[in-house]
Amino acid sequence: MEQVALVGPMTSSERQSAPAVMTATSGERRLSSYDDDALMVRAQDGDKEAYEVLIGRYTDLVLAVATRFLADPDAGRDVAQDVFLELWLSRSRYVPEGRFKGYLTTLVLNRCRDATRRRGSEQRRRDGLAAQGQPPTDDPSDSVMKDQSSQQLNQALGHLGDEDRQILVMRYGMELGYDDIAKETGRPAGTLRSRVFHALRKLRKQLEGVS
Amino acid sequence: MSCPEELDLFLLREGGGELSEEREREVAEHLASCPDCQAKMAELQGVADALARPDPLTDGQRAAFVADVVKAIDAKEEKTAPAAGLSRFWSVTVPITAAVCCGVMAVVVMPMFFVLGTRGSDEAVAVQSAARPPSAEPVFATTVEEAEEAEAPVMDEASQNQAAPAPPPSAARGRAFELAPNATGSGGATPSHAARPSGRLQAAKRSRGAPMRSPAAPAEGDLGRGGSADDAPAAREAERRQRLREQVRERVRRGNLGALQGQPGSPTKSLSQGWVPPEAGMIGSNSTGDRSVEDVLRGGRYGGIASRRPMATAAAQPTAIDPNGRFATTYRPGRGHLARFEKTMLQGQVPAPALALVAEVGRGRGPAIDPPTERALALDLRSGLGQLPPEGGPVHVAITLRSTTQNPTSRPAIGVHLVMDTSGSMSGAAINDARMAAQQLVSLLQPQDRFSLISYNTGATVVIPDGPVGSRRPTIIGQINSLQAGGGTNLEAGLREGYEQARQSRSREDSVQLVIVLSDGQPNQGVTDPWQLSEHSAAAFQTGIETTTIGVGDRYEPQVMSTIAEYGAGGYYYLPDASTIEQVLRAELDVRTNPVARGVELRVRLGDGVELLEAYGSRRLNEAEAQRVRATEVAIDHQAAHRDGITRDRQDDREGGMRFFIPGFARDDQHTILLRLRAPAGSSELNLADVELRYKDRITNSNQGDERQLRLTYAGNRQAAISTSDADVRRAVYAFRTGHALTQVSGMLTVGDQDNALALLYERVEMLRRAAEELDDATLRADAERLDSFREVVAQRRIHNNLMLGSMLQRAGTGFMR
Repeated sequence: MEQVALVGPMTSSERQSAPAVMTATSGERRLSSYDDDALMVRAQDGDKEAYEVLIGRYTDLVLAVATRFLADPDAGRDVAQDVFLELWLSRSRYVPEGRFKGYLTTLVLNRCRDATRRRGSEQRRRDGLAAQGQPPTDDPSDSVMKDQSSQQLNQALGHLGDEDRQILVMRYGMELGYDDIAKETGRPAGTLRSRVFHALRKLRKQLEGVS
Repeated sequence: MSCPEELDLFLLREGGGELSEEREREVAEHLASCPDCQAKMAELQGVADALARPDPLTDGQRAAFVADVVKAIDAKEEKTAPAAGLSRFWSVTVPITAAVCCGVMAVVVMPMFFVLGTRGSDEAVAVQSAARPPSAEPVFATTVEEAEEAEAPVMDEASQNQAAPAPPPSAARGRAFELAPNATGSGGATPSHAARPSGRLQAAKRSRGAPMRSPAAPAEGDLGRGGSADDAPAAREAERRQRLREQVRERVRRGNLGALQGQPGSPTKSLSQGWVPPEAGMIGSNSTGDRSVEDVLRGGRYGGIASRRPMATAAAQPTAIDPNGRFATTYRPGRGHLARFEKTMLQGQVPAPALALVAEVGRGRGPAIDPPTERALALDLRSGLGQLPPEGGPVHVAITLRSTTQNPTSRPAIGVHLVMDTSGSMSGAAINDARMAAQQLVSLLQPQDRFSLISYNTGATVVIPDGPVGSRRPTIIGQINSLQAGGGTNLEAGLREGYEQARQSRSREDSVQLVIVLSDGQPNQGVTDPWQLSEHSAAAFQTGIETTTIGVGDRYEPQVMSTIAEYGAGGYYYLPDASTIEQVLRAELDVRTNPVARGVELRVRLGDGVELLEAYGSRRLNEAEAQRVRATEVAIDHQAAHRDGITRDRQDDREGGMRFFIPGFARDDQHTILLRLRAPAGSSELNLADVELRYKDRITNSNQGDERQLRLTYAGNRQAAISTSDADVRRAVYAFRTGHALTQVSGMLTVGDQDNALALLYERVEMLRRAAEELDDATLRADAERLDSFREVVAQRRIHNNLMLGSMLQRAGTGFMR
């Protein structure tokens, strides 16, 4: 503890400066104890290890949102991967104001919508299959999501229309308020409430069918 | 009324004013009493909850996914890295430069600090200033950043012009990473989820619109290249971002060293030995004052975002508090604040994650103590350090009371006087719930118990005069059913009438007299000020009448009701819906008739030279408050003699020491009083404090007490002292800190200061996380996550009623400080 002796009678302004020197001798704090902003700033400094910790922290959320939004585990995984890749490449744009999760979920939402637009005809084919009662997912054993109830939920979501599914994910998966969803979808908040209700009821019905 | 459309039920739950007020009321009333509708809503809620839950991943799956992403990033960077040769040059050069500079610093500059710092002269200060590296990001790292990725943020000129003897470790590490990619980055095992071909990855690059919540993001080029220098707003924005990043870096830097620096707001982490116990703060003390880690945490601010907080909330130099006098305690029976908070969130006003924040509030985090079997209360006394450091310094003392699980010898008769709000604001679900509660209450009373019913709106009416429940039970129920809502809210009139009935009721001196106020807490006639209203309840208690308040209704305001209960020595509850009524009332009657100890007084006398720095969650009472407490004590002394035959022993008001008074201590309960003291320097032994407990024991029906002395020896050196720190006390400190933060956040939210609330929550999350890590404590970890969820809620500005939330948090905060 020789370092203790370094701390002589200093004014507070002196203390401001000392840590930079001291840090050079200090052990690394475990990255897992860093908050999101601290990890992102490390990432902005080029620290991939910090970024890995951040990815690990949000993998579950991003995968779940993307998978449910697209009703397709593979497509969801692709989007999730894209999101983290893009976030790394554009990390300098992030402003550390304590809103990382919001920033990330918005990014996920945008990429999910891009993916929805991209797959166009493919999705229509899947919807057709879904309407005939076939689950739109691939072999579940190949899926990241192997939990039975999750599979049921994802299957049931697959039977919903794109918009229904998406507003449900925004409302409950991402916990957006109706005003935010209104901005995203261009629909009035009042309409959205009843839309969410009907979608939720449809989902409940599908879940009853699936189980 | 027949069952409403399911959509209406859903709209009620989601809020947002889609239903007319009238309709909302109808639907709410129906929902409260219809199990079918409740079941339908529960089903929908179940589906919504399922959507909110992420799919469970195993650690392996998560690791594989992370590895895939890293692989994709590596592939991408490999492909797009401009000027690879230059990049390689810098990535080799910079770490070497960094290492050399660090070495120079270590060999030359640090000994200078040592020599000069210990002299403690102005000269030393001056030299340190000159020798210190700039706190801003040195130019090296940024330049390399630009060279490698062409995405360096725009730096302000001042930063760029600063001399930079060494890059900060983060920059050096960043480059070192490039030199030796870690195993994950270079491609670990990714059996089933290998990265897709890079062609697919290109898709990510196509659309890079600023995310919707990216605050004020300027139109930067691809990959975030800096905006035009001529563009003033863009430059300002870039500066702002850079400043924010600096603040975060600085916060992290301080995070490693705060314990040694006594830096305001720095968390307690030592250089290399992990978490420093709170008591270790004393190693940072010096001749200029006693700024310890604890002072720092109390002020609690990082230099980062939180530095915008007004100075008033920043750390103050600890000054000793007069340790003689009466102090407030945080002991409260009842859980009114929590129930109301939960209800609010179920209505969607505050999102579900915040619910978890207070779900565990009040759970005892003090030391684990076995309940006593022979008597009502056990006293536990421990200090944060087993041995004191030779130079003395701050040390925590936790005084914990634990009550028995046994029931008192007899249940006294009780007189309940129900003061029921029937004003217009109670119309709808509130009056319905209140009626049900009143009926339930009557059904729980025994025939010999006494009861009266007072309704109030613009004025007060005695609906049922005082008398035994006995054969009047059906009449009472009928009268309760006939109560209708309408008119103004004159709570004062209701209280006066209630106390009048209670006074008349005191035919048996050993009976417990309880006034229960059922209201939505919005008085608008007569006296409406909480403090003035509480004078009624305080005065009533002097004559042996306790006042309990029960909140009802969606528009409930807690301030008035909790204050009345506090001074009326009663319980404080909120009924979220009809299903909780019986549970609440049973608990209340149990507490009122069965406190295992009454007139509990803890007196703490500090040893010679020991100073009181803080009584957590408490404060020294002013003269008027102290007199109220004294009067309560005398009243209890009387009541115990009459009801339980316990000899009076409080005729004299003995001065001296810190005195904490708790009117009644519930069965199977625990409460900790946490003090921070300052020990003087010494070498052999110190009597830190004498603690005296006395109370009216309702298990043995006698006056009981306990006296303990806390003596500590001095260790040979600081390190030896720190190694004796007590984990239980540290846990208590963190719990109190969390509670303190919540009460501070409540104040900030109440005045709409979300930024500072956010900053404070931020640092507490960080602090708790590290504490959890160091103590390997799941409860602290869960607390950190709760707080973090709540921070998220605040950050996203999803709180619609700051005033209400602030008030709830204030009470949630005191819940932590039990």
